[in-house]
Amino acid sequence: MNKVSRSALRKKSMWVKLSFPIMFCVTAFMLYPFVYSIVLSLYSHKGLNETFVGLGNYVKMFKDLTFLKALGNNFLFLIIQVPIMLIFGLFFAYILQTDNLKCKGFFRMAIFLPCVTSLVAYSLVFRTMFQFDGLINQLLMQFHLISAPIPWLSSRGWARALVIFALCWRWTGYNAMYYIAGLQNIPRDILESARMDGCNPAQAFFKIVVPQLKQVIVFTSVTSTIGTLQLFDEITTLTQGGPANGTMTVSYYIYKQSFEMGNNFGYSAAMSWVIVLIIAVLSLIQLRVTREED
Amino acid sequence: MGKTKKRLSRALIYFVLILASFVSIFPCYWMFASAFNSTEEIVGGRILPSTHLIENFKNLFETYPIAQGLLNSLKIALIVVAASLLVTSLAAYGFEKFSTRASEKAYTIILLGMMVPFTALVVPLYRTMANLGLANSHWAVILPAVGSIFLLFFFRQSFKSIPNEILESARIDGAGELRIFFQIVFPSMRATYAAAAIYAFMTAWNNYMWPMVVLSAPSKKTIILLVSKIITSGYYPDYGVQMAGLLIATIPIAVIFLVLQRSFVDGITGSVKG
Amino acid sequence: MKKMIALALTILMLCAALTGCGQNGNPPAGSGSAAPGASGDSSGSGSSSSSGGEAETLTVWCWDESFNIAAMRTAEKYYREAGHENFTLNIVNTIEEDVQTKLSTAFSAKVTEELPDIVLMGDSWANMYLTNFPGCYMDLTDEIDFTEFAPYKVSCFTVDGRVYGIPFDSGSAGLFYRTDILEEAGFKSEDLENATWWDILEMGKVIREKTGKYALTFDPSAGCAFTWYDSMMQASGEWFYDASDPEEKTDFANNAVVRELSELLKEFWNNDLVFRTDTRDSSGIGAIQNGDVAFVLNAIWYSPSIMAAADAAGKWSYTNIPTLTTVETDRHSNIGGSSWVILDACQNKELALDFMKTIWAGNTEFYDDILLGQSAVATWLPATTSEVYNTPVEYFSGKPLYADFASWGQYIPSVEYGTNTWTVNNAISACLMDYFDGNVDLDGLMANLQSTYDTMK
Repeated sequence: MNKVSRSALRKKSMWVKLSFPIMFCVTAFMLYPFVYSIVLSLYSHKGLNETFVGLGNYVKMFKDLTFLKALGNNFLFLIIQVPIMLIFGLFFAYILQTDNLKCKGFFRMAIFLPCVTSLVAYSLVFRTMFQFDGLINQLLMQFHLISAPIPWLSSRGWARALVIFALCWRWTGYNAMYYIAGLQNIPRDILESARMDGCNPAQAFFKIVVPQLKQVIVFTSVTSTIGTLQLFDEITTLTQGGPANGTMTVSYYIYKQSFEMGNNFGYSAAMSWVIVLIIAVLSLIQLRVTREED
Repeated sequence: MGKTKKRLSRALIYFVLILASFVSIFPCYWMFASAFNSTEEIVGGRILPSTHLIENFKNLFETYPIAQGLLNSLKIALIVVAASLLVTSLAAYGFEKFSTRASEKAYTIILLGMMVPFTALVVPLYRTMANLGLANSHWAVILPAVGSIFLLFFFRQSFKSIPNEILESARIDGAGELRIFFQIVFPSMRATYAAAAIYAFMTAWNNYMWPMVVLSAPSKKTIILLVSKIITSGYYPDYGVQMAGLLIATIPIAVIFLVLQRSFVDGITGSVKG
Repeated sequence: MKKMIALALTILMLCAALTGCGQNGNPPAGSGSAAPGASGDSSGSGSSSSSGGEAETLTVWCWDESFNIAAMRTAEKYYREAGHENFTLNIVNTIEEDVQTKLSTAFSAKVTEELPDIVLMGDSWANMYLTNFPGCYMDLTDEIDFTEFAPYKVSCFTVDGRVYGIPFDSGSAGLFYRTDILEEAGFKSEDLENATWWDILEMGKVIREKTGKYALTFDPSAGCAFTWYDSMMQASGEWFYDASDPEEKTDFANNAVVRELSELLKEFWNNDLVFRTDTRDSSGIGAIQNGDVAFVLNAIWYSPSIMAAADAAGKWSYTNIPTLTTVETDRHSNIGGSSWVILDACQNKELALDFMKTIWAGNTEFYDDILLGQSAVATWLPATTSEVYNTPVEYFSGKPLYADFASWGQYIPSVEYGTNTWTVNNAISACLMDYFDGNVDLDGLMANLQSTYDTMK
């Protein structure tokens, strides 16, 4: 009796002790700065000159064409890039798990290879490759696939396509890894018996694999959504938000407003709160959808 | 009939895989090959490696403190790996095995932190670091990375698979929680730790914006910071040196990752089960 | 499985070993970074650099290894020769965007220990930083005779009548061109005298047809706005807004310069006369060095970038910038350029000031040296009369490049940039593409510019 209650008591406080270090880190280096940014968001700054504007920043941003455009771009990348990437990831993961695939190790290595490059490094490589007179245009011209160089970085449409392509290149293998891990958890005999029942690989994929991987798919889509809505490193290096703000993202605009145009830290803080809200809502929806299906 | 169809679909699969592999590998290969080429050759569209590797590396090492940068990156990344694995896995163990209503609330709040865009934190975080006397020190880069929320989540998912009975019986034997953690939990979760280590190492190594803001002395800069500015730092764009720099910055993580690739997947396998 | 465990263990052991390393290695590093802070707390008197006059060290942030940094290195040498044998400069290569980021982070966090003593600021954004972070810079008004500097440079660093910057290199602008491409298309250098931008457009069309070369490099980026709109605005003697107006209100609809320039650039763009990259971008520099374009609108500081391609020596020349037709514009203007600022947090202000005064505002030999070494054209007027400036430059058809651009400097109309130049540039880069693509007409472009500027500022 005594023993039980003591262990229960110990149990209650144990999580506090064990999680103390991370609580400290998160509070000091994330929650505190972020709460602090709420205060900031009520002011309009010009560097050190600050004026209290209340909710003025939140009103301002919905009239700010650049912010709205950036938000639009974020959603464009989200809607197009995330599904493409996840579908490809799932597809490659499934193929790479096929039993009698030859050169499996090589293909696996090849698909995973992009994940090891740093964001800055691969963006710089892509930037150099896709320059107006860069390698890609030279090759395409040499093979007479195009007659004039494609303005990859100076036309909005091409620049957006390039960003989407670059993101898919870098992150498909990363997500495929999660799917491969998930696939390893599906018992072999389930797939085996499905094949016995005359399921072809495509049917097996949709009827067995996808439902079994639902948790993983939700997980990857939530993390990819967060990643896309916070897109920064690639944009800074690859396109600098250009041309004509065609690839401007909210994170990069926040950065510009803080450090390049007028040092308006309050406005930046307000915009980042909107991003947090959007991510929270989207993540909730994604989680809710899967829960309802269960 | 069925056989030809099957053969066709197999051929198609190989075709897709080869194409995808090519697209995947080519930019990496080109970076590698271009490190051997002079700027003229790179601009001229040369794809094969040439003979300028040593020249590029010589320029690179003479102009930038590359060795120091590599050391700095290594130091930061390894400390982050060790500290964040310890901190996040301990906390994950606490949250998973000693779950209470309060702990779940705390956990949810921490998870929400994943949604905060880092750009929003730069100014307040800089002020915090400065108050702690840590601005322009590696600790300013290390400390925020230690409390990795992603790793916390990752470990907690993995720890779901540890049967409570084992822990309970250890407790009855009189083992303390820390001992249980290090003698039972840790050894049985090696694959998870390996995966987490790779993840933490790569994230720390590739970290860009925050180190850029907080580290100003050249002797403190990470390798990524050094190589990211090569092309913009002079009036003659030296692509050869740029590519050599990118190559040097990429090789360490590439080696670690490709060697440990399988354990990375195995580690994730443990965590996606839950 | 065993292999994997072994690997995992190795990693962990390595971590442990290096953590130990880190801790052992840290005290010196930690105390190193703490030292300036500590001495800052003890009100500077105890700072090791000033005590005894033995070691005199200043930290400088600037960009461009072969230009600004090299010039500072030369300055260090001259100051040593001027009786400060133990003087050393700790020059930190920091690109322009990083200087902005780091300054605003440190100023706004009110942390100054990690800042340098002297920092290089771009003329176009200096006013914004001086206004936004008052009290962070050393007031030089009464210390240095600013009448000896080009007035347009001084005005960039003047806020409320106080001067905070020591002008450095000239942003005196011109039109560089390839004589060989012009000849091949049947033009002569004389055709460019008194040319308008529309004449250049017509020449560009012929050149594209006959030689396949492009006329210019640009894309609708902030760099394009910076090179084109800012310089032509300045040539008109006015700015996008009245800098003395605290709101800095713009009126794009009635801005003749922006209107005509947009029409002009659209013609260049849509006639495929443009190599579509920013002039200052590495691929733009590459295109210019490769001889892919016939004209380059830029300042004297860009000439080293052109000259870096040795094989084009003698094929380049330059002239004054062309004019617009609907509004009177001067043939002289400014693009970029930068100046030195001493930070208020500097722990050895006297040394910093003395160094800047002795060398940057008082040593003609030094200026001769950086002119020949780095092609840095001064804005300290006593230096520009030096004989060295008349040196013919073979690369540019043997013309006296430096004397020409330096003498043009005094005709540049002086304008006040105010604090929203970057905002205007960003607005232009945001809206221009829609106009090029024909989605909006000229009035629509002006309306878009206006609303983008108003909401972004």
